[in-house]
Amino acid sequence: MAEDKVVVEVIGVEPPCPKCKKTLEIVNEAVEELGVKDRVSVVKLDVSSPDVIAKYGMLMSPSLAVNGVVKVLGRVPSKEEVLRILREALGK
Amino acid sequence: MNPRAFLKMFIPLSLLVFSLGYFVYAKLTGFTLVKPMSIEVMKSYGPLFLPFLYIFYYLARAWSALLFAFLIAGFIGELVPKQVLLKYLSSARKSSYVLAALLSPLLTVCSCVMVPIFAGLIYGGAGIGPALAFLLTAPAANIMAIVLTADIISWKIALARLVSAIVIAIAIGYIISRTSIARRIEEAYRKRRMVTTRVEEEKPPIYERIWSSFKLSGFLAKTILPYVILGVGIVSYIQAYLPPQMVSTYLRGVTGILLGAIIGVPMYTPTLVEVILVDALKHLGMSPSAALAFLIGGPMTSIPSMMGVSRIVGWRIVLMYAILAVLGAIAAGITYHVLGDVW
Repeated sequence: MAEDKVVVEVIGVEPPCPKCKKTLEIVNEAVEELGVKDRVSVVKLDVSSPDVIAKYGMLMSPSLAVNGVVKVLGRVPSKEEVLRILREALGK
Repeated sequence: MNPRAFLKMFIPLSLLVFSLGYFVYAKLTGFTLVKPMSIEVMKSYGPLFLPFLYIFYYLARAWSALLFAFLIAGFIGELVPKQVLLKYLSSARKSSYVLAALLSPLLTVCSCVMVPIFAGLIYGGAGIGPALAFLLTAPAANIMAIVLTADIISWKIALARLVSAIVIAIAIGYIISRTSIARRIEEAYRKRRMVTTRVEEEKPPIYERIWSSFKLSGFLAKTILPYVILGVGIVSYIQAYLPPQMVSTYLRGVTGILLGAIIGVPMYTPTLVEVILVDALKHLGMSPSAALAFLIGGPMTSIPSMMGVSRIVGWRIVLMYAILAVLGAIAAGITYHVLGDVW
């Protein structure tokens, strides 16, 4: 199953606030660094949309979810942290 | 513990202790870094130098409060267990107005957090009342604003601001939840069950978390300070050139309270600048109760958050709460006036 795509959702406000932009930037850098662009899809979601709230409940921005599980809540993660989370999700 | 980890913990914590210590010491002894210069002397340097002098003396006076406010906001933003607070909040039912209002100052270091949680409460079916109580408490009662109000204006006004913001926010939430528009919105989301957020967060080591809280403080300072400094510069002209008779005619007594509550609505002052503006008007003769009305009415009706909220619950709710916020600010001003009207 390791070939399945990892879905990374960056959940922030629309229009994006500086912290959400920063989070997305860090995630993209981490994906780049691991060289796994083909195995990870990064999605940007709106934290205030009814769909996101129905799926995840109440969140704070920015949050980060990987394969449907919230990994970071209401803060900008460091790149090391994102790398760790990605490695775990990719199973390596 | 390696030296780097130690420094990452030591620098933010010692700055926090130092700024708090200095802040308290300066308050108790009246100690100042530089001897304050009166506005008349500053004026004599001409309008070109006036704002710079004003900013310089302001920073010399308020730097420890500002430093402490940014550091503590960073600590709260990073280290408060948000997951636990959110769990309490999402269990919020009709009775949880108080909970929503009290948690609000702890969760809302950055204003872009307010609207998402508001949306979460509405769409999750927690009810429009607690959602509004949450939304309206934060801007007038956030930790940075209260620290700065206590330092620059007075702790009595700061306390009055905190308490009345919470009371007014709860009252507005309750009143609006009784209207038919609000009932219709609540009906639409009642059937939804609040999803409890499933979070599997691995916490980085404590020194990393303290360091990130320090970085958050830096981020907040970088975002907010330029506006504060610009605001102080503009306020210098107000204090120097606005005729005191005008302030003491219009910003005192009942007229002062009414005007104080109302002028805050269209005038969007960036966060913290409202405190500095009030300080200048205080020197020109504004009454404490008018100041309180301004410090509550203005932030509650901030235009960016009204726009965000209107997308979720519509303009009629926003209009209602803005009117109620002004009335609440007036009521707070009058109560404070009756209680003694002291700085």
